[in-house]
Amino acid sequence: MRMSIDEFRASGGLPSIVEGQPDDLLLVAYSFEPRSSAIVRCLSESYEANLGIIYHNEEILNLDEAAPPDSSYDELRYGIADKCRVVLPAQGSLFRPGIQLESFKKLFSRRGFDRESVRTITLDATSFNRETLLILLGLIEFAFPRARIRVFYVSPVTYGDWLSAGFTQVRNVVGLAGLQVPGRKTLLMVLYGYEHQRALKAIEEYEPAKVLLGFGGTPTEIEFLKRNLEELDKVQKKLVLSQQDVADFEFPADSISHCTQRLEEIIKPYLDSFNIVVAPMSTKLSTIATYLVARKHPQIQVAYCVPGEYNIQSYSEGAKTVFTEELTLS
Amino acid sequence: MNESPSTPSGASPLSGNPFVVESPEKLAPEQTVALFVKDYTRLETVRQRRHTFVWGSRGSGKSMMLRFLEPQCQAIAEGSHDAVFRQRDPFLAVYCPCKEGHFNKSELELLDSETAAILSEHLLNISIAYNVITCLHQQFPTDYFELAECSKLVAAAARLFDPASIAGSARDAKEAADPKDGPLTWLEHVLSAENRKVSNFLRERCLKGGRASYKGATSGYHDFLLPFLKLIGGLGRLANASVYILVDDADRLTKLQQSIVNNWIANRDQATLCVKVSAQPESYKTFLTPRGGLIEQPHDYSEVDVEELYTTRKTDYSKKIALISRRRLDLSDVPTKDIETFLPASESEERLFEQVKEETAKEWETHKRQDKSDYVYRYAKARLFQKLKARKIDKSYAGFQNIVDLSSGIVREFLEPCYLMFDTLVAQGKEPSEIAEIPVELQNRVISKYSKDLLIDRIEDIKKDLPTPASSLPDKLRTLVESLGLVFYNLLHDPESRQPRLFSFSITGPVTGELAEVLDLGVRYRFFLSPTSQGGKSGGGQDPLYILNRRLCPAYKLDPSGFEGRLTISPKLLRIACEDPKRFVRLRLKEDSDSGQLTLFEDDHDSAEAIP
Repeated sequence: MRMSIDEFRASGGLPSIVEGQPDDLLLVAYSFEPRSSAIVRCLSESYEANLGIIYHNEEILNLDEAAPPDSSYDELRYGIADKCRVVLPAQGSLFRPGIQLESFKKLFSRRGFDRESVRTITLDATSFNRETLLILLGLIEFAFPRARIRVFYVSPVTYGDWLSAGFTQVRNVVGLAGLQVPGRKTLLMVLYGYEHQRALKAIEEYEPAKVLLGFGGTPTEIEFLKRNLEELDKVQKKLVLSQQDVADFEFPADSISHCTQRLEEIIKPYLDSFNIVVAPMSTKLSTIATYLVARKHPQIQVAYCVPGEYNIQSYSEGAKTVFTEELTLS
Repeated sequence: MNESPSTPSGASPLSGNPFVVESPEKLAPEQTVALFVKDYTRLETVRQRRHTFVWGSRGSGKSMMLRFLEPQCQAIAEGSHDAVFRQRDPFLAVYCPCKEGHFNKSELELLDSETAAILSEHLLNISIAYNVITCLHQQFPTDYFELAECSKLVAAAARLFDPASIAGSARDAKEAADPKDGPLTWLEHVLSAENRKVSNFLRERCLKGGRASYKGATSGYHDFLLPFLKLIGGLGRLANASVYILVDDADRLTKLQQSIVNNWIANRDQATLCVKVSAQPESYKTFLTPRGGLIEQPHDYSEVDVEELYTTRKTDYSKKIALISRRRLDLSDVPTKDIETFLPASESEERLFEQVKEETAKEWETHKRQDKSDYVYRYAKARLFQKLKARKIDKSYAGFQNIVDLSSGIVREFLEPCYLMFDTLVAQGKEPSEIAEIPVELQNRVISKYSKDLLIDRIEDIKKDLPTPASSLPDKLRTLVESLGLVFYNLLHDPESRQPRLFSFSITGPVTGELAEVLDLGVRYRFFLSPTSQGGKSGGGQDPLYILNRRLCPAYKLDPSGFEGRLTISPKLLRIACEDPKRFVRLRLKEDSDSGQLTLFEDDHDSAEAIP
């Protein structure tokens, strides 16, 4: 389902998954983007959750008492506190994924939180960095395999001129290392967004025999299509010298289910002949689709390119459209 | 999907652009043999039954050399597999690439070190075993090895594992292949199943924590790898060959995994197993074994630096490139087969150079300071640059020898600009069969851009790559390169300069902190070739020598063929060089002037003019 944020709010906002029953878990993430609190601002009057978790990266926000207060974080915290019986922070890191792994594992092993009892999870994927989102899905799959997961994603009105800069390393996402057959060539599928340098770095590091360059043909907002195509052009021009066998394809960046279907369709012919690596760099919806495809085909490795810095000042502006879909991971 | 034009597997890669740089992984054995040039590679050292490190940057030809050692390539080169194994000290070379994400998995970093060590070693062992079996399976004719012998080998190999821990994998493998009819395929499946167990455990252990349990086998060097490779070498038709494990791109292994490889080397079992490790030297993080032993050269291993040829025997490097180019032109549709004809130098400049040489010889007559030919060799090129500057003519970098010099020892850096030149002509509508040469003007245009790209793009890349993007190091490096470019420019264009063709520098004292980081960054991103301790007259001995990447020459109007001497720089001056090029040039040249080595330094006006 997609709806403008205003329509969504006007329709009563976000209710709990099962009417009259609180969600077992509400997961949101803090970031420097205005849209990070859009879903919390849309929680309906009646919305309730047993546990609310607010995730943040230690490089973006310092929750030490000595640090200056952050009004956006407080807005998120107070917004959730009204609706959740318990609200807890989860700390992670852009550079050390072990931090969020341990943080979530600890939270998910709370008394009363077990694979049988957690059945409803609302996940606002908007502001999780992709690596954390993928790790989180893995943890949920193990810890709460029977849960219905309702995913929300909010697209911005505009993106900044640049989103991230720098490249510190490429690594596989924890839990999605895949299974490599020695001797097979590597196929790298890149779902790229606006960060062509990161896409190029992934290609440089993996030295794939074949590259599949995916661009969001149906982006979350039609205005983003032109830029998607410009980014594709930049990547293709840079690949002239590296002589990789390159093919491009479109994928729906605005839908988990359609994107999953499309990625599978593209990857299927190569599953038995290549070691496959997928690097999701587009919307969070397509990142979740990548998770689903990688879990269905466990030989696929999912890669994450760690940026040097984010455009904290003007990554994006506004909150325009709400997307929601429901998943089960088991 | 929109497919870009690509090379079909097995086809000649040179039907289009003869300078195409294909990953050796994509080349068929016939293509590898056709394109590989043995001369000037130190291949004979790598072939010896000794553990060997092959050092070199990406694109310097390490992988190509290793792939050439594989059985299929060797059989083509020697006429047959039997001929290969009839040679003295026969070997079976098995290519084991360390690709990103295969061994250096994030999950291993999150485990306790003991578990990570056990699983890493097992992962390396089973991957090597898989590659060995696949090699026997795919690189030899179907009936090359007797079925009974293979069955025996496979059964013995399976017994090297703990029977209980391997039972599940053996059972799974039986469903996929019959160990009697296809023993090698069966063992491949067993090893794949083991690989899957490691992979599943890593996922579960990280996501579930201590509740995850490992259900696979484990293996070490003495209980698996060594006896397994003894079994392989014992196959009748391999004639007791030593198995060469070609560990390519070992810089992609974790430090722990590199220490495991070092342990294999420390054991010196070369009659059974020789490890040939290729890596970028700065990324091979340790020479210690897991138990803290140090592997040392020459006791434990030999070394081959594929770029050393360039810095020590320049003419050999040039000959090597000529042979590679010749081979490529022969395999292409291009009518010209001689690379010097295909990449002509500027005729007018060559004529001018001949004239300059005569004038320089006459110049020698006036003071007869040294041997005449030495004098002409040392000063004629500089006089050419000086004359071109006086006539306000741009220096041409066209011509085979110039492009060889500009490539700074990296074969790929010779091939890439040539590829771009050829590609430009094809884009203009020419067929490869119509391209008899690359026009001088086009060569210069591409070379100039290729040089400036290094300065601009690479500095931008560094900025993006650094963990602290706001770091001032990249800008300091750029300023240092400018300072050096400027000082070398001044020396080259000064008619009174005694050392006009300097291109290297050394630091005459300890460099620490930020300055050391700037130098390291310069080496890592190949603005300077790796420092070598070659000693020096000033500075009292073994100051490391840094050689500027010659690809920068067109950007600073320098002579790419200059190899002699070094510019000595004190740490204090180095700091200035990282901050203020003009001041650095003024001070450095004044230093020489004061000590009588140089008689002139240019004033501010000239220095400013010198900035290209």
